[in-house]
Amino acid sequence: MTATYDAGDATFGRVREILCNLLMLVEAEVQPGTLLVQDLNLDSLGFVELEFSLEETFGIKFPDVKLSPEVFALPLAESLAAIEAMPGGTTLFEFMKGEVIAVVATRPPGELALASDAAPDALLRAATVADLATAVGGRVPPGLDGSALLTSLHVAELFRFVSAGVMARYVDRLVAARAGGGPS
Amino acid sequence: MDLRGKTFLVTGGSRGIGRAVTLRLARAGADVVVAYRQNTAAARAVCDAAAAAGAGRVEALVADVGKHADVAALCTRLRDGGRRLDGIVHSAAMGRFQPLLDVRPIDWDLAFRVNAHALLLLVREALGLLREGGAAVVALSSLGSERYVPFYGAIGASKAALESIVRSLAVELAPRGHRVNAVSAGFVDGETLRSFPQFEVLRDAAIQRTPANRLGTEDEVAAVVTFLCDEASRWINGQTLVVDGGLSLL
Repeated sequence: MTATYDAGDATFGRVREILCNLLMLVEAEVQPGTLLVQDLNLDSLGFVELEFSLEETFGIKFPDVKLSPEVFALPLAESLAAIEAMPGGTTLFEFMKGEVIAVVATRPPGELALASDAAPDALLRAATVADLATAVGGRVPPGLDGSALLTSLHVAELFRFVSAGVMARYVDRLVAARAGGGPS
Repeated sequence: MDLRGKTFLVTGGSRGIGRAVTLRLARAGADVVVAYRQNTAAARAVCDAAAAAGAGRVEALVADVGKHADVAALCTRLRDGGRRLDGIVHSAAMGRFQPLLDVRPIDWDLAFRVNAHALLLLVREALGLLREGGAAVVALSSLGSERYVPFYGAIGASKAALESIVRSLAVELAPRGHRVNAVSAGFVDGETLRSFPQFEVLRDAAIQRTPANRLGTEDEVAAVVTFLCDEASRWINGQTLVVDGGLSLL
């Protein structure tokens, strides 16, 4: 199961402070499950500046150059595969894929037709929209069907699942990678 | 115009006015380095178009020019490649179209970082790369720097800051023989204008108010930028040239 953050976590606290400063919020408005798009009205330009602030604060680098419009035009599974094939580190989307796969992999074998096939891509194809929401500690964004397969979404819709908590966990991942203590 | 043997760095050079500048420089035979943030396909496409247009050498390098680390890496790569720059065109721009009262720090910071501060980062990091005795720096501004443009609050303020930076750099770099100018474009037909809220209303009003009775084109702005890159403009320094078909006169 994936890691979670409580409001007292150091990384989450710094991420929350940045969000509060950039968006003129009070701390109570930013909880680990707060969705950045739905709850904080963050859009693609907002993500650009948020990531800049996180990079400056934590000394990390978001490998967003991998997320070109060409990649965004592909179906979700193909898009993620294309991103993974590129060098340059783990994007937020790849990180979220890892999180949801970890959730799906914990299901009792009887629940999965793919019990005999635990390959990451097979697990991704078995994941639902609700699985991703669970994995990132948020909730299913409005207008989406939690029971739908995750691969039915467009890759850009993954932004809607990004919570303050998962952003903090992703930052931890990038910090660990920079320090050589984990996968990049 | 003959810019053969000269090299220019164009930020935001893969799209919009920056793309038009890249192609203008290419047609004059210059070598062009296009800095782009994320759109690899667009960067690749403009490189192909520039090569076909006659550029001496053209390459695209990824960089968010609002980030010091990216700008430093970009300049290191140019330095390691033995490149010298005859000019820098700062065309990259970002910002959200919204009323000023809706602007949050996240919107303000983005506009100022990419539109204004980036020029200072670029010039400072590239100073050792500028060809001695006569490099040209040109920044893309807009009428929103000094006039009210709907939904342009933070971007307009950042463009005003950009023009101020241009003036200061012009004075400080003049002893080295370098010139720094800005081009302030009026309403230009293109992707940026079409992304405005209420685009049609804004477009129609702009056309009605412009003595030329039409929008400008990206290439018309690029032509002035290219002129400022050329030796023919050597006595123009620290200026913001308005390119708007006369709109700002009324």
